[in-house]
Amino acid sequence: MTKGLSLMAVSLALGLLLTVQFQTQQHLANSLEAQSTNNLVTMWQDLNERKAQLEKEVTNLQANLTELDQQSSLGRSNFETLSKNTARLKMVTGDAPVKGPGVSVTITGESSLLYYDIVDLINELWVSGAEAIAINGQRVTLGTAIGEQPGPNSTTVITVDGKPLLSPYIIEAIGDPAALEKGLTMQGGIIYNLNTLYSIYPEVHQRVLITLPGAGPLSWRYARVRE
Amino acid sequence: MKPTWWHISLTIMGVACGVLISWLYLTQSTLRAEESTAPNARLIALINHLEEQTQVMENRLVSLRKELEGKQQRQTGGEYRVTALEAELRMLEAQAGLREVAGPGVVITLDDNNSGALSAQQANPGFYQPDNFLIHDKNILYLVNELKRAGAEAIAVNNQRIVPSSTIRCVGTVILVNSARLAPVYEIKAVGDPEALEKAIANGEEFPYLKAKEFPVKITRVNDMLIPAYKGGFDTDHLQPAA
Repeated sequence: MTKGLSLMAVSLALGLLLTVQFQTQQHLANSLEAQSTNNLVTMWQDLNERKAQLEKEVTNLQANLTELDQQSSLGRSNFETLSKNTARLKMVTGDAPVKGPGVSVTITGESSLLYYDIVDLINELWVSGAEAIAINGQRVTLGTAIGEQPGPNSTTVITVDGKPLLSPYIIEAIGDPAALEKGLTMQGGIIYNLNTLYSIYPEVHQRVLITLPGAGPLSWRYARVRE
Repeated sequence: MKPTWWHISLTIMGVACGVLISWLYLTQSTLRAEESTAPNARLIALINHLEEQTQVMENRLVSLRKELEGKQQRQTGGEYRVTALEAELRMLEAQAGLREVAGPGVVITLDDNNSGALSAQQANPGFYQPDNFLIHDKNILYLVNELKRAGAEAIAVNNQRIVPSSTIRCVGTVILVNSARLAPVYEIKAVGDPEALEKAIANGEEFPYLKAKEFPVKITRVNDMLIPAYKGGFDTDHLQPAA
């Protein structure tokens, strides 16, 4: 009986130790200390970009506040500031049409492209600084989902928001053309992987002016805005 | 002498102890080795500093947005076109992720397959591939896409709000969402029709795949929950309205 009890106690202690060790191990894998120098440099660059973006946004909001104060001291309504903010957010959400410089990514032919590749490409374009994106003229918004459905002759067809995507696939993104191109075509990047692993050869071209359509307002049925 | 349950359990425990002690030793020695790499220590200090700075700026952004909102409301003055515009702006802010939203939906939790990693390491240390037991950025990216397919309206991953331009990726073994570092357990919250979302995810591709590989994954329906606001900014330097 005492044997049983002591065995139980020791097992318990052992189990506890194992759990602690696992947590240390897991923590280690996610800690900065476990990352290579290259990856740390990437993270550092990324954070610098994020900081610059935040600085711009702070400046923008401060200008907005000054404007409101001026309007108020002149006894004018804030209609202008509101419409400016509304117009900017409509570009961000994909509601309104936009234009600007950027890149186009074209994938032609009977490629073995999977819908996951489109999800990856869109994600990689945002990582590279895209400000607005469309796939075959369909604007990417908050709710845009990529999928697939059965096509003719037991093939599968890639879909964007449930609508079949027809070849050639053309993804257009507005942003700094050079940064966007570099983000996609760098060594070990997404285009490199598509080339070497799947023999898919998307063509990336810098463009002076791209116009992307607006998707119109989104409507929500379940989400409520908190005051 | 016939081996009894006592001998067997003692043997098992002895082996387990041995494995644990050598593993502890290995962990400790990697820790020590990493501490001594000076250039990385500098980079890590830089990263930690930048993370603190961006956090301070995020909080500043949140308070500026609140101040702006308050001023806008005070200056509306009951003018009809202004009130209408304000309602539109509020909805746009919510959909851009700048406002907290509430609603029903699902919560998906994902964790690294720690017990699988342990048994794999014990069974065959030479063939142990740690990557096979970790949740990767793509698992989360594809789950978020599946949630959108099923009609999710607002999504957050470990309380990082998914906005139109959100990015989900990894650098090394660290998953970044909106450039913020995440740590397991990963929790994806999505507002939408709870039944439709649960069905789509449970019968989708990513969730069953992870389940089959014995990752601790779970999906729960929720009657009401909060999705936090996005604290970052939006790049619009190259964007112009088009007619």
